[in-house]
Parts: sequence; structure tokens; C-alpha cells
Amino acid sequence: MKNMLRKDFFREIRRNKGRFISIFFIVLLGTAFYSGIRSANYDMKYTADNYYDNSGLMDVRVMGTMGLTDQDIADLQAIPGVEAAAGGYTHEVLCNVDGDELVLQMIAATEDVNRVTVEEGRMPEKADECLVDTVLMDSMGCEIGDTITVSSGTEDDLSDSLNYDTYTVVGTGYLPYYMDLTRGTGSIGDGTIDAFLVVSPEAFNLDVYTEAYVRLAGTEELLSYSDEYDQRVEAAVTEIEDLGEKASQRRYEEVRSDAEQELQDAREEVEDAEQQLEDARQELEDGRAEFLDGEQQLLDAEQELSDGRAELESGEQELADARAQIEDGERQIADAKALLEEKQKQLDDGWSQYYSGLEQYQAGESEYGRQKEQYDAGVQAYEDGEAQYAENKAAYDAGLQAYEDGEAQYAENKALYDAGLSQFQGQSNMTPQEAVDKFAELDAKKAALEEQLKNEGTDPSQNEEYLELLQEWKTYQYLAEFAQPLLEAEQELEAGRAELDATKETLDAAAAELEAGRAELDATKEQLAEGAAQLEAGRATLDATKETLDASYQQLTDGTAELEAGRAELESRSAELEAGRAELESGEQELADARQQIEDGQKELEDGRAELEENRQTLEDGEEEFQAEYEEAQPELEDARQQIEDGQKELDDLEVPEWYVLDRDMISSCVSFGQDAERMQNLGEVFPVMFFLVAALVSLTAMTRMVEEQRLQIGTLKALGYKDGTIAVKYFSYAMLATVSGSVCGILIGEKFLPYVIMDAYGMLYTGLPEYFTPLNWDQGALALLAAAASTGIATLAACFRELRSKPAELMRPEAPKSGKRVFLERITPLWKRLNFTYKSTLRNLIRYKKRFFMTIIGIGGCMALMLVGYGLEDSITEIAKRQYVEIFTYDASVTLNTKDSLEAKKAFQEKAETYEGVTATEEVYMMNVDLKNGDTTRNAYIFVPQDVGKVSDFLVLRDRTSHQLYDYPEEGVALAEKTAKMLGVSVGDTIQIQEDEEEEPVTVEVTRIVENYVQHYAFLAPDTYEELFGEEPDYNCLYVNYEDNSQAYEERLAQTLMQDDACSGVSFVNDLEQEIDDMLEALNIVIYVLILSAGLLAFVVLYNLNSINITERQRELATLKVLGFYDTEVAMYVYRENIFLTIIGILVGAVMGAFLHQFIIQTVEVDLMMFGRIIGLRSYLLSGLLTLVFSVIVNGVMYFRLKKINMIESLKSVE
Amino acid sequence: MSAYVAMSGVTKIYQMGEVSIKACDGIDFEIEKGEFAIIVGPSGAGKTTVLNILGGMDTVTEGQVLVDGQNVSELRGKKLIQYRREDIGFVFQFYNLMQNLTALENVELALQICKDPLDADRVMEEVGLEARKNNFPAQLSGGEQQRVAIARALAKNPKLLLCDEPTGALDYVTGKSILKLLQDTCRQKGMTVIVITHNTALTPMADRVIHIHSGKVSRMEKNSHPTPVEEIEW
Repeated sequence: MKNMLRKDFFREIRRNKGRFISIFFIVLLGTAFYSGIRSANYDMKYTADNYYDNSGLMDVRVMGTMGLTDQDIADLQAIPGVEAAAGGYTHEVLCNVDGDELVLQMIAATEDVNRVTVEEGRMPEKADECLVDTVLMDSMGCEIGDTITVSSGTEDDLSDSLNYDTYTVVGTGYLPYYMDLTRGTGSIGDGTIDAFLVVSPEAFNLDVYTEAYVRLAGTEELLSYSDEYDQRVEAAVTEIEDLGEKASQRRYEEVRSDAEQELQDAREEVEDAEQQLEDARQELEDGRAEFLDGEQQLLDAEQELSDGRAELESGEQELADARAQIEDGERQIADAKALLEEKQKQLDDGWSQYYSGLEQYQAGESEYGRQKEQYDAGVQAYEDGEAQYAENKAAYDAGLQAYEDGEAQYAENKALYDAGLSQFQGQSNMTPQEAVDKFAELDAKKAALEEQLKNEGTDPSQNEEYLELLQEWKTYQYLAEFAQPLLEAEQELEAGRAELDATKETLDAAAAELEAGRAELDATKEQLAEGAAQLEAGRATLDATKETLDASYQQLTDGTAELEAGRAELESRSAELEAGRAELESGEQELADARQQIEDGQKELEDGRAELEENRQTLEDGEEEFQAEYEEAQPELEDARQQIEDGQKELDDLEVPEWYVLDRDMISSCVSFGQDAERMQNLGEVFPVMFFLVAALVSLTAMTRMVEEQRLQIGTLKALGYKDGTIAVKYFSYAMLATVSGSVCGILIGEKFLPYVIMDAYGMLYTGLPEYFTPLNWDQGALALLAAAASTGIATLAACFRELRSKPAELMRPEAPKSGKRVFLERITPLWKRLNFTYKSTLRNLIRYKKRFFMTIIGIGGCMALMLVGYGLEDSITEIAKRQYVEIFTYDASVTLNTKDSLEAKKAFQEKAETYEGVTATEEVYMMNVDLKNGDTTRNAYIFVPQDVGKVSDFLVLRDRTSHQLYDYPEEGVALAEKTAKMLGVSVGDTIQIQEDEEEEPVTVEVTRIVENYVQHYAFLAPDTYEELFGEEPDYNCLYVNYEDNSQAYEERLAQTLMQDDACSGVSFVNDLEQEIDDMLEALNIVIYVLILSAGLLAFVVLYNLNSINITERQRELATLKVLGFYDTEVAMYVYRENIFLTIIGILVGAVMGAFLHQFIIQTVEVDLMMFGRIIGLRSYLLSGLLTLVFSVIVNGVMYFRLKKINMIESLKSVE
Repeated sequence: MSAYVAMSGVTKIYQMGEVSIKACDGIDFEIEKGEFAIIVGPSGAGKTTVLNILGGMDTVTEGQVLVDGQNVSELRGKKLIQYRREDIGFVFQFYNLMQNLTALENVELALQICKDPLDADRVMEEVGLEARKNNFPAQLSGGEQQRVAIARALAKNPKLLLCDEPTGALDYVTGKSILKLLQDTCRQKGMTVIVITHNTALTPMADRVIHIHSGKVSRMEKNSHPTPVEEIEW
């Protein structure tokens, strides 16, 4: 750098100290915080590692399920890379301190590995001395020289494991693997180990070591928790595990073969005894069978005999019957023969009678034929007469008919004539005859005249007379013509009448003739009918006779046949009888034989019975003997058998022992310290980065502004011919000087101070940690320095080169001011009009300089967010105890019950507690430390089972964290604490497994609720569900008590009273628990105060810087206002308004940013066993907002003086 | 008739460390009410110092300044600001407008703090900017910006209108029109206008010309027939 430029550079710094210092401090703060917090992780681990190395903390712990032998230890030692291996003993015992049952871990002291840090007194030297855990020392209040008496927590005698039960306290101290306050879980008492006792190995009375401690070569140089360390240990673990398999097999075979041999011997013995018994029994069994057989045979024989006898008797009877029958038969045959003779005679009579009858009948028949012929001729004659009569009758009828017709014809003609006559009489009063006659007269006259005339030759017509005659003639012609027929008819009628009368006469004669013929015929007919009847009777008589004859003939024929048959039968009967007689004789012979046989059988039977009686006696004796012997042997055998079975079962269950090879990752205090360190690292991931970013942002903004302000100078130098680089160097150097010096100071302060504060805070939890180390962490420091330098450096250079790109002439001219712009608000005219110009200007300014706007908002917002996170963390942590022990655990005290006590004793105790004055309610509860599993994830948790689900809401509130919706106690499935569920990675509806005991199979249950909970992991089950899952009722081991008076005095009295009862083995009060948690989290609170303080500082510096920049930039405007006659306050307000506006926006933005950041950080910082509160209290928002405001006000107050000093003339004279 | 503005024996010494610079060395002059006065002199002669003192932006080391009978040289602090606020209108070479306010708003900004201001729109009309009154300064030309500055000064209805090289950053034609505006204002409103310039060519247009040289008034002349600006060439 040129001389003059150098001078200019230093003058620049001197002249503008404020700017330099503010950049310096911002960088200092940023780097200090960044490197400090980020170093905490390493420093904590380093400190812990230092302690581990100094105390020789084991790298690997080996436990065998069947213990470890000296051989195993020697083998371990022989593994290359193992520096030291020591066998150790541990045993859990109970110790009663002031009525409180404590679980103590007895640990045998070891050389080389796991050295005890003695705080007071000395190490135990004799077998009945002990060194006590400092934790126990504090809680028991015992002193060196006191004695501690321990008792067994299991069914086994204490003397199985330990030589003494009383130990003298000779010192107190720490064990390196119990660095924190917890002592792990145990298998007796309440499942939690309260403290350890270190004794000499001689105190133990065990054949094999329970575990071995191994220290590896070369691990001291490595940092525990580092990957290199892990790799080294991992390699060793693999080798030890290999050894473990061999050693386990060896141990297994040893144990197994011994047991098997023993078992085999026992089994053989038992088998022999059993065989003997079995043989005896078999013999007896055979004897009895034989005897029974004989008895049966005898009975069969008897039966047979009696059957034979009965048969004999029936045979005799049969024979007698047969004989009687034969005699009977003979008599019958004789009778039959006589009868036959008689019948023959009768038959012969019958035949002769029949033949005479037949002759008579034949004569009758011929007589009948003759009479019949006569009758038939009579009938023929009658029939001829009848035909004749009919013929005559027909002729008469025809004559009668003709007569009647003639009569009718006559009547008709007569009528015609009468009609003609009357007609005629109408025309003339003459009779017809007269008329005819007259005419004939006239005619003759006429003819005469005509002739006359003709002759006269006159014309008739001229003749008057003629004419007159003609006239008359004509009249009579007419009448004659008419009368003529009448006359004829009259004649005819008269003739007809005569004919008719003649006919009538003839007819009447014929009728009389007919009548006589008839009478004759009827008489003949009657005669004939009589003859017919006579014939009929004759016929009937004949027929009857014939029938009688036929019947007799039949009878006679039948009788002859019958007689013939009877004779044949008689013959066959006689033959039969002969055969029966022969049979009878042979039957008699047979019977005699049978009688002889039966007599022989009877004799034989008598002999058999005597023999059987003898055998029975022998058998009974044998059985009696066996029974006695058997009863004697049986219990002995049963015993032996049971023993063998047990032995076998044990042997079957005997698994190949396993070695558990555990590295430091399995030591809870190492892990939790490591986790705390990691937590600091997690905290360092975000919070300091954020912090650093804000700082970097502000410092680079300051540098950029500086360059922009000095535009004119840059132009001048450029115009003078200085190279761009040379000019840039000035600003770059300025930035570097401020940044690097700030960083170095910051790193030194941060890395030395912050980790110490943090460790000091954690020291409350890790009491075993003797001293804290805060080495400088070059990597974190370098990173901070580089980042700080890079951010400001690059920003500065960028600003420089942006300016330098322009021509010198441009640079020397004032930068064209950014034009004002109308802002959105102006469109709302009524509102806009109300604003005065300073407001308008403020609003437009905010919009005009967007870059500055955002820089400022981010700066202020960032600080606000950081403070808010700080306060939020505090909220989250302080909330835990309050929520857990006031809002969720609403019980007042919990009493640990003695599980060995009977149910009655517990009930009695509960009653006692319930009736204690001031106690409002009690509830039995089962609490047990279990493993919850979901796939590969396992979490240690308490299962909680209340005795009465209905009452549990008085003691415990189950609710949702965010909505505070109350839940009923789950009747089914399990309710999980929120954190528990989260760590297991389950939600409602999933299933988890619960394993109460390592030896048992885990049970599976569905998660039905997730409830708010902060401390510890819990799984809430209903008693029914528990029983369903584990197949037994919960063994209630806790009693929750509620009472009215929460004062300490009352609680002390209550505790004293309850503790007097044997059933009670401890009382704890929620008030104490709340306090305990608060104390525990105090450590984090201190860290948080550091955060808040740092954030506050940063906020102040940032605000100062931003405001300062704002004023410098506006100098000209402000001067104008002054010239125009604005008062100082008015001018200040012009600036303030903008600042206030930015601050408020910044606070709002910061609140949002902070809320998110808090959520993120809280989850990384959280301890596994706890859930931190998720909510930032309103108070924290207000506090951090208020702090930001206060800082802003202070900064603005300082600015007022700077504003006042603005020189109008200088500012306005020209453009700089 | 006593002088409206009177400076008598005004001395101003700037103390720069060990160096003291005498900007004014006993300046005496008087200006009548309603006059258009031009203070002219070379660079560094002390004209601006005189103007600053008159405008209440600077204080005198010695001497007395009377404006309308008020002894300005004795004013301090708030009184001095009040004097600036109520009695003085300033026009700068570089306008010094508020970039964030429109032309009209710039005028109104000044009115906001006045006891007896003129109507902003009227004034804008008078300076011939009514059409552009809603534009931002950056959208206006130099001459227009200067008109806004003049309007802002006039609107306050001040006793004195002080102009520091008002045409210094403007071209000839624009400068001329600005001067015309000033001259017209003086004539029409009877406003007392004091203009500082180094350009002697402008002197004919003034009622009174005060020549300053090395912190002293070297010459003062009164022009009974000022030439209208239009007729002046330079």
C-alpha cells in the first residue's frame, strides 16, 4: 500500500471509530458465540474422556449368563490389544434406611480398571468394610465408621453370594461409570438401583466372576466418543465375542456333562426299582388269570352236567308219551274198520232206490210230451180263428167307412141343393118344375110362331107378338136354365138317400156276426190258458224229480270214493304204528347210556372243586405280599422321578451361556453425558449459526455502506490513477482488520468461557466429573474466523468493485438518488391524505430501499428470534415440572408398598392411609419398569395399572397436549405418553410389545391413546387389560394418596405415620418430585441464560449499527429539513419513525422466526427421558419483544445526539 | 426608511484546529424591503457565509445582523430554528428536494411547519409547474426541480428569499427562466430576494448589487433601472 493511502487508512479508522468498533464487536459476538457453543460438545467429551482415562474406566464390560471363570479371565487377558482384564463381582441387595427400602449394588473393587475416586476416607481393605456411593452418603446421612446392614432381595439366601451382611463404612467416592446421579435398573425391590457399595472381592462368596472389566491398549490416547475410539473398541469387541462363543461352549459343556451324568445315574436306579416292581406284579397277574380260568372251567362243567341231567329227564318223559300214543293209535284203527263196514251196506241200499226212481221219471216224461202236442194244436186253432175275426172286422170297418163317407157326400149335396133352391126362390115364386114346364110351353109356342112367321114370311123381329113372345121366352129360358140343374140334383139326392139306408142295414148285420165270433174266440183262449198251466205244473214236477235223482247219484258215487279212501288210510296208519313201536325201543336204550355218563361227570366235578379252593388261598397270599411291598416303594420312586424330571427340565432349559460384551455405549452415564454433549452440538447446529449469520449480515452491511459512502473518494483516487486493486485494498484491509481482530478476541473469549459455563451447569448432574477442560478448538475457531472474514471481506470487495466499475467522473458526481415511488398505500386516498409528509416520506423510504429494509428486518428479527428462543427454551423447561406434577399428576403422594406383603396386609394399610386425618382419597397402583418395543426400537418405560379405573382421574389426568381434551382411562389397549410414542415411532392404532421380564415373551397390545406427559416414559393400562395380557392380576405395589393440606409439616407427619407400617417401604411427595425436576433442569437453564444474554447483546449492537447506517445515509435529507426550519425533535422523529416501524416489523418477523426455531431446537436439545414443553409463553414473547424495543429506544436515544450534530452547511454546501 | 436587512461589521472566523479562517471580515450592507439584491464575488470571497448567516444557518463571530428589525445575530437554538422556519426561504444550487415526496408534497412539507403559508397549488401554478406537481423530483429536469425548490421557499411566505447560486447547476436557458421567475416574484409580490452568484453578468437585473471580495464588501451599487432578465446575455 502506498504511504499516503496507509495514512488515509489509519485516519479513516481513527476518524470513524464508531463504525470500526461496532463491526469489531459484532464480529466478536458472533464468533465468540459460534465457536463457544460449538466447542462445548468437544470440550465436554474431552473433559469426560480425561476423567475416564484417569480413572481407568473399562472400555469393555463382559458378562456371562453363567458367570466367568478364571480361565475366561486369563483368555481375555491373552487377547492381543487387551491391556488389562479383571474379574469382578456384583450383587444387588436391599438395605433398609430409616424405613426406606433401598436397592444397593454391591461391587467388588478392582485394581487397574474402574478405579474408585475416593472422596473421603479410604478404600475397603477388610472383607467387612465398604466404600459408599456419595449419592447414598447424601441421602442417608451416614458417616464414615457407621455400619450398613444389607439383606437379600430374592428367595436365595444372602450367604449364597456374600460372606457378610453388615459392613463398616470406611470411605465415600465415585465410580467412573456412575458419573451421573442414576444407578441403573435392578431386578429386585422397586427395580431401581439407588446406590452402590464398593467392597473387597473377599466379601463375595461366589464360584465364578459375575463380570469382567477390560481395558484396551491404546484407547487412552483416543478420545472416547470419537469414531476412532469406537472402531478400536469395536474390533476388540468382535474378538472378545469370538472368545465368548468358545468360552461359553466350554462352560456349557462342563455344566451340561456334569448334570447329565448325575441325571443318568439317578434315572438308571429308578428304572431298576421300577422293573422289579413290575415283574412282581406281572407274576401275580398271571396267577390270578390262571385261577380265574380254572374257576370258569369248573363252572362250565357244572352247568354241562346239570344240562345233561335235565335232558335225560325230558327224554324219559318223551318215551312214556310215545308209548301211550301207540296204544291209542291201535284202538282207533279197530274203530275205523267197523265204521267202514256199516257205510258199505248203506251205500248199496242207496243204489237200488235210485234206479227205481229213474224209471218213474222216464214214464212221466213221455206223458208230458203227449199233452204238450194237444195243447199246441189247440193254440194253432185259436190263432186261426183270431185271424179270421180280424179279417171280418177289417171288412166291416171298411164298409162302415164307406157308409159314413156316403152320408157326408149326401149332406154336402143336400146343402148345395138347398142353397140353389133358395136362390131360385128369390127370383121366382114358382117352383123349378113349373118354370121348366112353362119354358117348354113357351119354346113350343115360339117355335110355332117362327114357323108361322117363316111361313108368313114376315120377319119375326117385326112381329110384335113374336117379340113379345121372345121376351117372355127369354125370361123363362133363363129360369129354366136355372131350374134344370136343381131338378136334376133333387133327383140325385133322393137316389143317394136310398142307397145309404141300404148300406146301413147290411152293416148292422155284419156287426152282430162279429160280436158272436169274438165271444167264441175268448172262450177258446181261456181253455188254452188253463191247458198251458197244467203243462207247466207237469214240467216242474218232472224237473224236480230229475234233480233229486241226480243228487242221489252224486251222493252215492261220493260215498263209494270215501269208503275207498278210508280203507287206504287205515292201512297206512297201521304201518306207522309199527315204525313208532321200533323207535321207542331204541330210545329206551339211549337213555340208559346217558344216565351212566352223568354219573361219571359228577364224580369228576367234585375233584376239580377241591383243587380250585387250594389255588385261591395261594393267590391271596401272594397279592397281599405285593401290595405291601408296592406301597412302600411308590413314594420313594415318585420322589426320585420328580427329581429326575426337574433335573432334566433344567438340563433341557440349559442354554449355551452367552457372553454379553458391552462397551461404553452401554454405560448409561457415559451415554447420557455423551448425549448431553451431542445436545449441545445440536444446539450449536442452529442457534449459533443463526446468531453468526445475523452478525455477519450486519457487519457486511456496515462495510458495504462504508464503501458506498466513500464513492467520491474512490472516484478521486481512481481519477488520480490509482489502480482498482489498490483502492479496494484499503476497504478490504479495513474490513479484515475489524473482522479478524474481532474474531480472534471472540474465539478466545468464546471458547474459553462458554464451554466452561455450560459444563459447570451440567456439573450439577454429573457430580462425578472432577474438573472441566476448555482447550482451544482450532477447527471451530478457524471456521468462525474464516466465515466472518469471508463474509465481510467478500461483501466489501463486491461493493468496492461495483463502485470501481464506474468511470471516475461518474463516481465524482453524486449518485443519482433513487427516485421516490408511489407506494401501495397511496391508492387508499382518504388514508393517505391524512398522513403528513414525514409519514409519507417514511413509508416511501421503507419501500424505496428494499435491500436495507430486508437487512434491517432480518437483523432485528434475528436478534428477536434468538432472544425468543432463549426465553422459549426456558419456558419449555420450567413448564415440565409444573405440567407434570401439577396438571397431570394430580396425586399428592405415592407410597411404595412392600410387595412381599400379603393382600390383606395391603388392604389394611390402604384403609389405614385412607382414614388418616386429612386424606381424601387413595388408589392402589401397579408400577413396573418394563421394555416397550416396536420392531427394533426398545424403550424403557413404566407400565401404570390403577386398581380402580373409575377413580384414577383423581390422581392422574390423561389429556391431549395441544387441545387439552380430557381422555377417559383406556379400557382397552394401552395409552402411551407422547414422548414414549414418538420415540417408539408409533401412533394410535399401531401395536407395541411389552416385555415385563427378560425371560418372558413380550406381549402385544394396541395403542389406543397418546397422552400428554413430560417426565419419564409411561404406558397406561387398565387392570383388565393387564390381566388379559399377562395372565395374572397386577401385584399392586404403589398407593397414591390425595390429601387437603399440602404443607410440608403435614407431609412429614403423614410420612412418619405411614412408614411405621411394614407394608410401606417408602413415601414420595409430588411436591418433592417437582422440585427435583426443577433442580435437574437448572443446568439447562444456565445455558439458556447465556443464550439470552448473548442474543440481547447482539440485538443491541445490531440495532446501533443499523440505525447508525441509516442516519449517515440520510445526512443530506436531514440537513435539508433542518434548513427548512424543522426542530431537532421533528428531525429525529423523521428518522425514528422509520426505525420504530422497522423495529416493530422486525419484532413480528422475529417472533415468527423464533417460534419455528424454538420448535426445531427444542427437539434436538430434549433429553430422552423427558419431553420439554412445546409452547413459548406469552411472557417470553413480551419479554423478548420488549427487550428489543428497549434496545431500540436506547440506540435511538444515542442517535439523537448524532442528529443534532449534523452540520447543515457542510451537508448541503455541495455534493461530497 | 430604515433598511429591511442590515449587516453591520459582521465577522466570521472558522476555527480549524490551530488554523483560523476569516470568512467574513467586517461586512456592512443594507437592503431595502422588496429589493432584488445580488451578492456577487469570486469563489471563497465569503458570499455563502454571508447568506448562511442571513439564513440563520450559521452564527456570526462578531457584528450585528438585523432582519425586519430583529437581531438575528443574537438568536440561538430553538429561536434560530424558528427564525429559519418562519422568516426565511432558501433556494440551493442543488435543489435539495426530498426525493421521496412529489413536487407538490415537497412544497407542502414546508407549509406544514409555517404559521401563515400560501396555498401550495397556487404557488405551483405561479412557478409554472401545475402540470407536474405530482411528479417525483427524479422525474423532473434540473430547471423544474429548481422551480420546485423556489416554490417550496415561496410557499412559506418568508420575509427573505435567499438563493445560493440558483442557476449554478443549470444551463443558460433554464437558468435564465429561473432568474426570471425570481425577478418576477420580487416584482409582483414585493418579496425581498437575495441571490448569490459569481456571475457578474447578471448584475444588471438587480435593484442592488453588493460586491464582496475577501470577506469585505468592496462595492455596493444601486440600480434604479434594472434590466429585465430577457435582455441580459452572458
